[in-house]
Amino acid sequence: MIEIEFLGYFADLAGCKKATIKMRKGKVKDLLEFFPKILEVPRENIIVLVNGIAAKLETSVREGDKVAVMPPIGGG
Amino acid sequence: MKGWTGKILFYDLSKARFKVWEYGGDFAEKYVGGRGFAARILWERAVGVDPLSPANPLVFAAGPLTGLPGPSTGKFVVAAKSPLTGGYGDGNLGSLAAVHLRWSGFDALVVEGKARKPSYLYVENGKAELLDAEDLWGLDTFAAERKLKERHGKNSGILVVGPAAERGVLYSTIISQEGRAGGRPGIGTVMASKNLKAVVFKGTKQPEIHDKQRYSRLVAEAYRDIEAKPNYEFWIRQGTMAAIQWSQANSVLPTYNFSEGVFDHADKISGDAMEKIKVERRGCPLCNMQCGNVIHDSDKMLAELDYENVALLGSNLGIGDLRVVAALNRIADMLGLDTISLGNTIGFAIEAGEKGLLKDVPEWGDSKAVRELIEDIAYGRTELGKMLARGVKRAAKAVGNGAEKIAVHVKGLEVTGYDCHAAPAMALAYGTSPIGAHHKDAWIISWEVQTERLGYTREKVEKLIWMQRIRGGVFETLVACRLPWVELGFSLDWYLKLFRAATGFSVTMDYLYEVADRVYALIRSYWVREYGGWSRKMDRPPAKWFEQPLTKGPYKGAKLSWDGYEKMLSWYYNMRGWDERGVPRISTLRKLGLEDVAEELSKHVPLSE
Ligand code: SF4
Repeated sequence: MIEIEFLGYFADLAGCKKATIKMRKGKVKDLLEFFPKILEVPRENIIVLVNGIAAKLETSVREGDKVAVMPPIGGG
Repeated sequence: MKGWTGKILFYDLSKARFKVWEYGGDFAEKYVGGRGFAARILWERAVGVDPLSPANPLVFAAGPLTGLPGPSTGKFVVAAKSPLTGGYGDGNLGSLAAVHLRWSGFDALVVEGKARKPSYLYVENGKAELLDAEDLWGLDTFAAERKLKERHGKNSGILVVGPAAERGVLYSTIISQEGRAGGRPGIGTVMASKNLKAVVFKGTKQPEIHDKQRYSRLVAEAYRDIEAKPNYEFWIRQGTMAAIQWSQANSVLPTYNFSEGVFDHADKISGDAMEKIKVERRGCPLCNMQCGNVIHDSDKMLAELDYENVALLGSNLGIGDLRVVAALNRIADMLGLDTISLGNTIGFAIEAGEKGLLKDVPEWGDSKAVRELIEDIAYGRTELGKMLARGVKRAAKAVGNGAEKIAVHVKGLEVTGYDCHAAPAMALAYGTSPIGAHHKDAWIISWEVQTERLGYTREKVEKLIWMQRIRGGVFETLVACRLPWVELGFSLDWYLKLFRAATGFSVTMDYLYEVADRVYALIRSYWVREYGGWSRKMDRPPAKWFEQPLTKGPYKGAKLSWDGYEKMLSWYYNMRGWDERGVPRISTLRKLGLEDVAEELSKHVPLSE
């Protein structure tokens, strides 16, 4: 299982804040195939963290990993 | 001239007299407005002045878009020589006052001198008069504004200072509409030092627009474009509060006086938590994406929340209760204290207490003690309150014994809501911000986390300068709120189109960038002149991020490297055309049309070719 969390308005796009996906290994972008609306967002506007560390859509993930995906939201 | 009114009102409080300066197109073309006007006026008129003396000019400067119907254009710049930093200080404030300043026929107001007794200034359609404020002095900012509204009508534009400014707290702001605040580097303190409790603007004439039809069409399209953005609806729900979770996820949420980037109770102060208890929305005039989130605070009063005040008065102090944080924020606004510097300074005091450097200070998370301390600071009630009222840099010096190492500021201005242990470019943004540590000129962290996050690269420096040009230049001179662009991805092209339609100037974005570079060089020259020299040490971020690594979260162990930082700082100077000390070169000043500045500056410090 891989846990994926969506922050900001990505939760609206994904239709959920959190999901677990059965996958032994793959890339972050493979996980996002379950959430097509996120993949419609331009790539430079998708921030990915794997276990809290900055990552990319191409980063490999495997069972037990926690992925967070979010837009470059600001605080002002 | 169209777009601009072409007039600046100068009011001398000592003589209770005003003059109107009808400036020419050259001045407008060179400095555009807002920060550009303020920087030039301070360069000329605030030479070697004591910031709290009558001689320090207090500037309220709008730009050619301010107050015209348009996306989030109800904003202007408040500026003065800062009593907190001793350098150039300004803040961006959204208020009906910005709109009415322009509608009363002026692009800026410059207040000089000092009134004989507590007074307020009333500006209406081309005229100004000084009125008695004895009954307002001592009132909190909400009460004072309510009284003035009763007197002058609820639609007038009102700026007030609170008891903190009256007592000389060095990070007092100017407050409007019970929650809009501006002028972090003590611009409110400067206002109160002039015995000026408030300024009321009332105007009825919209500035002339070059191509009115086109302008109106553009504005209608622009507002529609903003509302059609995919994240518009989410922004309306959470505003900047979404950044709490974001910062927590990215390990940059200021926690325990910027010792950590993650907070155990972040979910209790997050945007999601806020959304559940939100009751209404407030904001600046002319804005269709108002971001002030209002909830009932722990005193059952209505209070506003945004990211910065929740980060600084919440996680940074170990307080994980949103309603309590909202109350602290409301109290700070009523007293007229900058919530960021306040949270930062109190965080310093708590940590100093923990380290045995200070006695009788609150503990992390003790909101009751924090609340008392806030009032002690504003009213100068205790020795601790008096010391913290002078800001973290001076407080650290007074405490001694290495306390400087836990003081989180740049040039004396307290750092805002982003921890930089694992964000080198954001640290550089704080280091080089033209007013001291502030994110308003470059919120680069959002981009930085998508690149080689811990790297010290040239690309980061290039991006930083680009951001400073837009955020610190374009938005601060036009003047409009940057948030439609930053938060919703509203295109920059709109601003250029609006500027052209308003003024008739057929220019490109490069023109606005050049103005931004000119203003940056001018502000840097101002600092250098007022300090009588410069050293790159002045542009260094707090030592804590380099010496005391994170102990929690995914970036545990992370800290900055001095070598890496210095390398980026040199690139930065080089790209700006400043020398290795951080002083603009003669050739740079000349290229930007600042020959007179070069000449004057060279009398104070030797300049590099
Ligand atoms: S987005 Fe927020 S800060 Fe900007 S103008 Fe609107 S209410 Fe004011």
